Parts: sequence; C-alpha cells; structure tokens
Amino acid sequence: MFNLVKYISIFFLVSVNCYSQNNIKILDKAGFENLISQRSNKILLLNIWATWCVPCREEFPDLIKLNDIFKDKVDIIGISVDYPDEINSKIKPFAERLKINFNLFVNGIGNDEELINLVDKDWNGAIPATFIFDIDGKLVSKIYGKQDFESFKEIITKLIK
Amino acid sequence: MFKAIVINLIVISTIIFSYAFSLSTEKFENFTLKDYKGKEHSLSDYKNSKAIVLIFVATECPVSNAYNERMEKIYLDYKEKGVQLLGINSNKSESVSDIRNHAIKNNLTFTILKDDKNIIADKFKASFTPEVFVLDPDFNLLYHGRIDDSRREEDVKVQDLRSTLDEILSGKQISNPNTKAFGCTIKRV
Repeated sequence: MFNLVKYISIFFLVSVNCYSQNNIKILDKAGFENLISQRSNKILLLNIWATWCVPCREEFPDLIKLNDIFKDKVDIIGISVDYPDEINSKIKPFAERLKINFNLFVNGIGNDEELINLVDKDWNGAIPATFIFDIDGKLVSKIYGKQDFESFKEIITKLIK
Repeated sequence: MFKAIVINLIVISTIIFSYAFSLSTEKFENFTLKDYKGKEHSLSDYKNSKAIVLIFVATECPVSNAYNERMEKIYLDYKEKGVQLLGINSNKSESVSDIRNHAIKNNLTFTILKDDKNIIADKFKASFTPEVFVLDPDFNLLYHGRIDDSRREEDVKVQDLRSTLDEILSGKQISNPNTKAFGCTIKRV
C-alpha cells in the first residue's frame, strides 16, 4: 500500500513537472534577447519549429531525450512559429501528448522575417532549425534541417568539453 | 599617350563593372521538367516573358497550401501582362498523381512541374515551400523570397511578389529583392 502511494506520488510529481514546463509564453524581442544573454553557465540550444512542420515534430522525441541527459549543462528551448492564438488549440496539445520536458515559447516578434533575422541573418527560414549559443550568449552552431539524437549529442558534447 | 590612358581606363572600368555586376546578380541555366500531365517545359520556352516566376510548392505543406488561392490569383492577374508563373514540386514524398489531384482539388490552373530527385531545387538552393524566385528573360535572378508577409491572408501588409512584378513591369528598380519567411523544408532524396 505504501509503495502504491509512493509510485502515485512520484507519477503525480513527474506529471506536474512536465506540464509546468508547458506553460507556453509569447516571446517578444526583449524576451528573446534575455533568453540569449541570461545564461546560468549553461549553453543554449534553441530549436525553431512549428506544429505544422512534420520534420520538426519528428525531432521532438530526440530533443526530449537530449534534455534528460544534458539538462545540467544545456538549456533546451523551443520557439514555435505557430501563431500566439494557436497555443491552446495546437501547441499545448502537442506538448502534452509528447510530455515535452523543456520550455516552449511561441513567436510574438512581429512577422516571420523579424525573428529569422534576429536569430541569424544567414538563415533563410526553413524549419526545423537549431541554434546553439555558448554560455556568453555567442552563437556557436547553426544546424539547418532535421537532426537525430546522435548528431545533436555529438555537437553538444564537443561544445561542453 | 593620352589616348592610351583613356583606353586603359575604359578597359579597367569595364572589368570592374562586369565584376561588380557578376557579384550582384545570379544567373541560372536553362532546364527542362515535365508537368503533371507529362508535358515538357523548358525555361527557354518563356524567354519572351517579361518575367518568369518560379515557386517551389508542395501538396502536403500547410504553409504552401495557405497560399494556393493567392498563387493562383497572382498567376491569373499577371499572365496577361507577360509574366509566366510556374510551380515546381521537388518533394520526394509527393508523386506526380499527388500533384495532379492536389491541383484539381484546389483549382490551381498554373503549370506545376515535377522536379524528380530535387535537381532543380538543388541548383536554385531552394529549401522550403513556398519559396519564390523571379527571373528575367535571360534567367538572371531578380527576386528571391516570400510571396507576402503573412501566412494568414487577412494579416498581409506587404505583398512582396506583386510589388516586385509591378516594379519589373514598370521598369523600376526592385526595391526589396530579398525577403524571408518560414516554410516547410523541401523533402530531398
């Protein structure tokens, strides 16, 4: 009986943790700049995605796994380029279904082009795209297109050495 | 002596100007692809057009699909003005019959070409749908980027492709030759 209560409590705590991560906020320009600059001695892996993007959705299980392994050294953050009014209808259901264990934001920075240029002037906007910033907030890696767990792991491992 | 200096200056200026021009413009080679009815189309078939608009499209991409009506309307509005609009589908996962069925279902009457093995997408370095390239009749790149500034038609403030075509047709300089937007990644072989 005690064990059952313990397991239910652990399940409840884990669930609360997952869902509290999914308090999806709208990201404005100042918020974006804070994300980049306010590093707590961790590198930042910024994944730009959308619920309508199939390869983006396919990357998520690997990003979740990556967060489980590297969460002490890497902040993983997803910025969805869905619309802010789609948080409840599209983004949250997806996040809850996959039990996404890292923070998600939705683009609230004007039109697409503003966010694209803010992240990386060389990037043409094809998603998924992942950008890694070092602990000083310097962009050190640009990864265009869908990646798998091993390729993400290889890049991160090199950067945190 | 003076004549030699003038000739040298002209030659040097020409070289510098040609170099600068080659840096600022990108020229593409002719290519031939089949449409979903099996008919071959070459870029050179449209050399008499005032501009050639190539749009990399998809059948399954929600962003490309959000632009179906807008692309069709641009095609209809500008074809009488001498602008040729062609769709190119380079997605490996979308077959010729998918393209045909999608065009019929969505009343797309402009030509859509199938780019098997994404050879043309590679040549253009096209990476997402819908991605626009506007060429002059000699296949020099005039415009690259988005159709307009919002996936939601009701939120559009800037109609980049239409503005570009209007500028080309009126002989004006293109004010914004490069724009960006989010789109679906082209699924390559």
